[in-house]
Amino acid sequence: MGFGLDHRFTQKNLSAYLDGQLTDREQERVERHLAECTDCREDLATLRSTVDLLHAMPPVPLPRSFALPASAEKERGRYRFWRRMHTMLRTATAVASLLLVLLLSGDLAISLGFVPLAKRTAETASEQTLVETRVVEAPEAAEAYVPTPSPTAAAKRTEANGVASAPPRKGAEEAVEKEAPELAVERPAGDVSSQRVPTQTAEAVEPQAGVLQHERALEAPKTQDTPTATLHPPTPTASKPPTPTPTATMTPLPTREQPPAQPTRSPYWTIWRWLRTGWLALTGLLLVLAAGLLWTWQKRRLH
Amino acid sequence: MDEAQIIEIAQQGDVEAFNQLVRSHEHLAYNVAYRILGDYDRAMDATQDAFLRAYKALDQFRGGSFKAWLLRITTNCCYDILRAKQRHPSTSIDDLVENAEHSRILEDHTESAENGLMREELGAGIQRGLDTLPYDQRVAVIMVDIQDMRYEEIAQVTLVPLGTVKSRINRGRKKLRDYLLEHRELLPEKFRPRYESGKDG
Repeated sequence: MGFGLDHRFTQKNLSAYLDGQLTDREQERVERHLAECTDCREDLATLRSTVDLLHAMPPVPLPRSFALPASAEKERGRYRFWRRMHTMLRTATAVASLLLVLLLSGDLAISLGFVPLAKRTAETASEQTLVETRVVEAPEAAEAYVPTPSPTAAAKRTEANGVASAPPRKGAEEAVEKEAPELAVERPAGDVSSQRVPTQTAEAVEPQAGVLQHERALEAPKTQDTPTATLHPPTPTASKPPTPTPTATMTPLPTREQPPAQPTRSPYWTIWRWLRTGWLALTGLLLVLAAGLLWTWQKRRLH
Repeated sequence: MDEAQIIEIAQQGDVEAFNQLVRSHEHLAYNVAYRILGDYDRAMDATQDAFLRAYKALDQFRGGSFKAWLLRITTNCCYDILRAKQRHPSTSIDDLVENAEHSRILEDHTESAENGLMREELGAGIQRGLDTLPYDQRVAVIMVDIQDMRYEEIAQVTLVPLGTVKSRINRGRKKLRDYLLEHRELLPEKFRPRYESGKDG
């Protein structure tokens, strides 16, 4: 072993050597080096003097007793309560964070299409429901976007939607024209509300990617439950004269006779909903608790 | 009744049992706090705070050395006070320290006034040197050289490996030595010649 290495080792362990904290082997190494290094010997001597001085430091007498008063017991109870609260908050925060991570992961998986939120078992029945809904909307949509729709164009569109939808559409148009001709004439072409309602509902019914679209798709059958109310509303401007004509648009549709096929919700959907609700509840609770703690702490600090 | 039994009773919340522990450790805790902080009033605050914290958190004590556990709390309290002092520095603390130590030693009637003054001068000089050390090294040097604690005990108090304790002690002592060599006039006459053979500052 070289002189430099021994020198560094000795310099590093001079205090331990003084205090007898080295192993026999280390002690021998230090002593061997000390015998041949003047610097290290001087260092050792001055360090020993310093230690002697420190040992000679007078102990400081106690100014008073530090015994605790009996009231400390009360304070201990309070401290334990706050400590429990702190532990609870910490655990709740950890759980909330975990839930948030799960929620975000689930959201991502759903939006990427890895996890189906709903599976349609009665495919054909569901299709039919959609077609029927469009049939109901078709005349108004045609009126809204094409001021003077040619019968051939309307017929073509109806054919595109499905053959089964053709007769009801015609019937509906005839009913409107027969029983409320003034309604069809007086309806303003630029009435935005009357144009938008069916269009938006139609959009909602159409299947799209993403969570919101899935949700809308799931909620679509609910909107179909009241098609006469939402899809066929005679606009307030259109029904100015209080004639019984609106009843014409409220005629029951053939779709009412058989209930629409409900899409079956997958178990992922339920888990996701529970996860979301749980996270929201926990975060709310945490916020309330944190606000309470902050308020109490401020109050205690002021006193 | 041994210490373990007293601790067990105190863990139930018995203040009187805890005060027995206070009486057997207050001298050590106060001296450590005083040497770390170098200030009489702050050392009192730190010691009192340490005992109060120890009492409140006594149910978290899971056996082992009560002395090490208590000293850990005491050093933590001292650290908090030092940090607060750094944030809000005040003037003429040094004078207060010297006066405080002086009055404490003069009150100690077991030794002669001359000896007392000399020891007070020595104490104040070394205290100035200790105050220049980094916190970790200061704690290690105080515990090993003033409180005569073993390296293992210091490792228990500071929760660091034995090697780190050795290194802190070595570096702390060397820095203190260098400071005292540079400020020899701070030491009483009797103690100065002992440095003559050493390095000249």
